[in-house]
Amino acid sequence: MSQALHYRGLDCQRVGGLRRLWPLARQEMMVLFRTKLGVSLYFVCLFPSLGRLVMLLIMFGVLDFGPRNLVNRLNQNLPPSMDRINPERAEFYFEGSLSTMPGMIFFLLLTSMVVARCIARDRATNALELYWTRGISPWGYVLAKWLGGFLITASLTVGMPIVLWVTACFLAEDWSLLINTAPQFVTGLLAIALVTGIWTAIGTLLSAVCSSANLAMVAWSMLLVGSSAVGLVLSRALGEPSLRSCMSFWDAGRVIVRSIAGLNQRDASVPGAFLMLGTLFVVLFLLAKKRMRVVEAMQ
Amino acid sequence: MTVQLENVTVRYGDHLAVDDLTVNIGPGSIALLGRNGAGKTSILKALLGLVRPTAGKMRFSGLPANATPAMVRAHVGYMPERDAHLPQATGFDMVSLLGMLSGLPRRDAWRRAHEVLYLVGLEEQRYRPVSGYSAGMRQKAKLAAALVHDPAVLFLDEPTNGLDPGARREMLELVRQLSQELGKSVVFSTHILQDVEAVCDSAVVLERGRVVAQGNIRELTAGSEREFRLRVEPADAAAGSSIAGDSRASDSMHSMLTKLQASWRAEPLGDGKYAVWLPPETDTSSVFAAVRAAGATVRSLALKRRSLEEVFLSAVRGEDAGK
Repeated sequence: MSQALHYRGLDCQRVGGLRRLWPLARQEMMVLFRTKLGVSLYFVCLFPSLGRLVMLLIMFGVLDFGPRNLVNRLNQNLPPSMDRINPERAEFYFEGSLSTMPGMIFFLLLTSMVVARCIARDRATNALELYWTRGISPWGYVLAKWLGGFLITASLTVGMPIVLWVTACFLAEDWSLLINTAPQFVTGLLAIALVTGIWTAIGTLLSAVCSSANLAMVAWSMLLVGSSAVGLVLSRALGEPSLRSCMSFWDAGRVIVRSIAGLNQRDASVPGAFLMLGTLFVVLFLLAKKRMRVVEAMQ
Repeated sequence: MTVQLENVTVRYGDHLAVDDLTVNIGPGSIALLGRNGAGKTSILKALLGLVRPTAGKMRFSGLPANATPAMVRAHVGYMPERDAHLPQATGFDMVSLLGMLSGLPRRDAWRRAHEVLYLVGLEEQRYRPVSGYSAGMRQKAKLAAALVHDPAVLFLDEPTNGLDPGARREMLELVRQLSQELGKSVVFSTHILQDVEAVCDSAVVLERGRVVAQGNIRELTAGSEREFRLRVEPADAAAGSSIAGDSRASDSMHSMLTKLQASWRAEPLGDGKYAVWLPPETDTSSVFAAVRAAGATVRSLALKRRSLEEVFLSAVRGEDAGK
């Protein structure tokens, strides 16, 4: 004898359009924090920025660890090429996000766990079939996955520079640091957000193309580190330093940010960098377009 | 909520998955029966807007389904055949997220996720990762996900796949209750005939993308002729002359039955039992009269229904022979 079902109908106003995508983006953003390993990884990725925070605290004398008033002395004595360690320059705050070492390595660690796996992981567990039979389209799904990956990555590349800069502004003796660095900092921040968006979009499309999460991670690592190595080797072999920004995925983004923010840079080809990222995006988009057809996911 | 398919054809390249299909799906539970590759899943996917039909019209409550897949999905709960879950998500996370993607506000999705997980019997396991669930629990989680947005129609694709007998019975009971007690329209795609008999009111038998039989299950199993099981014994049973034990008496009984009514067909099954086929217009009282005239009495007369398996096999063989 069966028991009666305790079931009541649903009476609520349905939300539509983009508001349906936010829960998926939020879930993607939080996916790293579901496991202890993920939480540890995120904090490891904060190390470069935390190192810079310690530098700031030492320079402003909060941590009594060396000569007093180091900031003013650095500001007076350092050449422009060393702006990356001078808190009076906007470059100081971006360096953690843009440097190849350690910035790229931690970026790689984070994105290979989140961005590169996002769609490939769902494909492996047949989750696409569950998602796409709901009220969202395949491209709405990709957009939500990208947004989630972008937000968690931007919390490092954009969020940490903001934390550093705000801390420095409050630690400074007066508002001159804020006034001197604000225009360049804001422009640079927007540029980093843009490039992070492009990087994570490429990672998301790569994930859409790959059939398994592990394959996507390997492909993403090869793209990031491999293109960087190829760019370095070719630029040295051919004696053409600007070639590096045209070959390396990471350096292309770096060159674009520095160019938009008006930071010092030599031997860089900005059109080459745009061309490199643009080509990569278009190629992966076309491949993903084929792979993200509903029929493809259902087979 | 009604679903109508008119002359629907679905092709995957050169492969014809559904061929000129016309079906009406009304309230109650209907089975899509067929062998693997018969086109059952393709029909469900076409209705969900996941596959575009090459030809034909699909209407969902009178509205064209092709033009409004979002509307269709809002009213349909789909339980896929394959094992499907969200990586690293708990049962609650999975069901509530899928509810939100169906347009439920967060609070409603949360409340609803708790309710449907309780309904399917996963209330104790709802905070465990789905990846750690057993096969039966995963099927239940998929059913909960299909129910979370309170759809009027449920498309269940092989819901008892991989379940042990106990879990299978629970699943079938749940589906039966959803259909009969809650009034959900259930489209049940399967090739397991016992499941259909346990749950469904009507069935559509598919073979190579074509409908080879369809209708109410009672009508399908009744057949065109009425087949009865007749058991007789001599009028004077006390005298000890048993028709069952006497082959000569049995032969005479058989010939008597067929002579009395030329339009009947009767075959002895032994032990005093006969299979008797009567034309639809013939009243069963004539059987009693014929048996009495043969000097025996009727001990039992029962209508023999065809099993769904017989219906299925004859429909599929008929299609094979036609090819």
